[in-house]
Amino acid sequence: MYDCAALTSPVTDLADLDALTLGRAQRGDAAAFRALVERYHRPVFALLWRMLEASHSRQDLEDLTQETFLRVFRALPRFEPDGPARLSSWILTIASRLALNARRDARKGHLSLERVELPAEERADSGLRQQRLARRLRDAIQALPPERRVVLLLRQYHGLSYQEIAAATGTDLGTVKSRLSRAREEVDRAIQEERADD
Amino acid sequence: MTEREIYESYRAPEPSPDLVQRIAAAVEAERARRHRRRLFAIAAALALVLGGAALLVLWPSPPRQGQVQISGAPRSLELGRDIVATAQPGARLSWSEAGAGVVASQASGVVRYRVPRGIPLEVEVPGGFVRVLGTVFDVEVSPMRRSLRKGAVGAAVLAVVAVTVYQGRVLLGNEERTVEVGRNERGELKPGEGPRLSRRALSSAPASRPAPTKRAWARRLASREARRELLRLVHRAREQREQGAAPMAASGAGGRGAELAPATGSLDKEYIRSTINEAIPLVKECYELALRERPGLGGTLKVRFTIGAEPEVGGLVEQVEIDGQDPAALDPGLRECMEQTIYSLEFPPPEGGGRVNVTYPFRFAVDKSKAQPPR
Repeated sequence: MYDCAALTSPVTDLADLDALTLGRAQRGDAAAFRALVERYHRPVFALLWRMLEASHSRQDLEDLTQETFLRVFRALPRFEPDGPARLSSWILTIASRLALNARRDARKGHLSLERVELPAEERADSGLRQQRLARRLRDAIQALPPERRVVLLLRQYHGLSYQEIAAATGTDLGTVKSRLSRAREEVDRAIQEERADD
Repeated sequence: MTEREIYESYRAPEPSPDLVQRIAAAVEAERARRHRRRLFAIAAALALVLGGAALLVLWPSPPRQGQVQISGAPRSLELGRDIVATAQPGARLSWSEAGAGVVASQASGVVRYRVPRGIPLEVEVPGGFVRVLGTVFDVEVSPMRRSLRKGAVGAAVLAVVAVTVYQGRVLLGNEERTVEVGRNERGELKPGEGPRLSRRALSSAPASRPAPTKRAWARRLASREARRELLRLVHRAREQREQGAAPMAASGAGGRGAELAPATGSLDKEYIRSTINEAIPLVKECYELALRERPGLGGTLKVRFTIGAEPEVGGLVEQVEIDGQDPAALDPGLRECMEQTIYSLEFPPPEGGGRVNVTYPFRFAVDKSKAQPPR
């Protein structure tokens, strides 16, 4: 069972780490890097969760979160604060690529697949209608192809711009828009079907 | 519900409370690994540098100088780090490193030097030097006997130096002049004369050679040890080859003043006589040297020698005996000088193989310090 007493909310308005702390973290300051982890580990975990909850256990997802920050640690000295990427989108880029790789590995059987059901507490604490809607939304998102899913998640839950998503997924702007449009269509169709059932 | 509210309904759970701690620990472990790797790299680089330095210091290097006198088998020597010398029995050689090169001093014998390009080598020889930049060459020093050198101006005029170059070029010279000796050429440094070049190509010697000059005779003088070693090899090969073979019919060769004892082969007696006459300058030199030690020395000295045929060598003086009861025949210095001179003679192989025995008397008389051949 998962502890769902506190659920993360979308992070579209997450403020980046201040420049001073970022600079110290880049120079190897352990406390500064810990501050960076504290600031970004929730959105990273949330992205990984929504990307991989159907195929990975919570432990796997936390291990992937840890791996994300190890890669951040190795690459941080090369991060340019004045460059085109924000720190948050740069970290989420690393996480999304790890997620896509993990998804491919899971398909190859490298990781144990574990179908995750929504926590019972969530069902108990939510209204029946909202509960059904959330389940339908989750199923619709999980049913998306990974390339569309990550675009939708980065845009919808983490507020990345099209350009940042294109950079994160290694595609061009048109592809991002196309994938996002198709993903939304599929999710909207599922939601409309749920509402029609009501 | 708005779209945002719908999407917000799909919430991710909160990560474990200790996740940040675990991530921090993993990062610290990574930091420690990187630190160890950095230390290891530094240590490895230091070890490499120190090991290289130790190797340079401890690596066994050839002696910076040395001195040898070769007897028995030929011997290879490292002169410095790059030069290899192969010294034949009878060779006396000393050397020392000088800057990037080597200065050697060769008193006698035959030494072949192999010198990499760009390594300076100078070989001091009696009466001069051989200077080289990258080549393979022989230096042959044929000194006279010590007893014959007494009373001479100096040792420098009592040795014959012949330089044979196989690769590259060398500079042969003395205090007055130098000559360059190129590939397949020979240079000579004779007593009392400057260096000269013999342009006869080593690989194109004619079958019937022209009459050799006095200097050409001089360069044929080989050490007795080398000659004896060659004869031993020839005899051994011949014994193996001629087991059971019948000797050929033979006739002697002779002429005015020559008594040629027939053996198993034949040679034109006029040719033998002319060959010996061509060696008269050296015979005179032997007599002049002996006179410096024993003024008034004279008499008849009878030389008996055998000319043999060897397929790989040609006509070869195999054995020399000095006979006679006169003072000249009993003088050890003159006997040895004459013996070496006769050994250096070159003949065509006897016709039909076999051997030719030759007896040739020399009469020495004091006539203004000139030796007299028999008349």
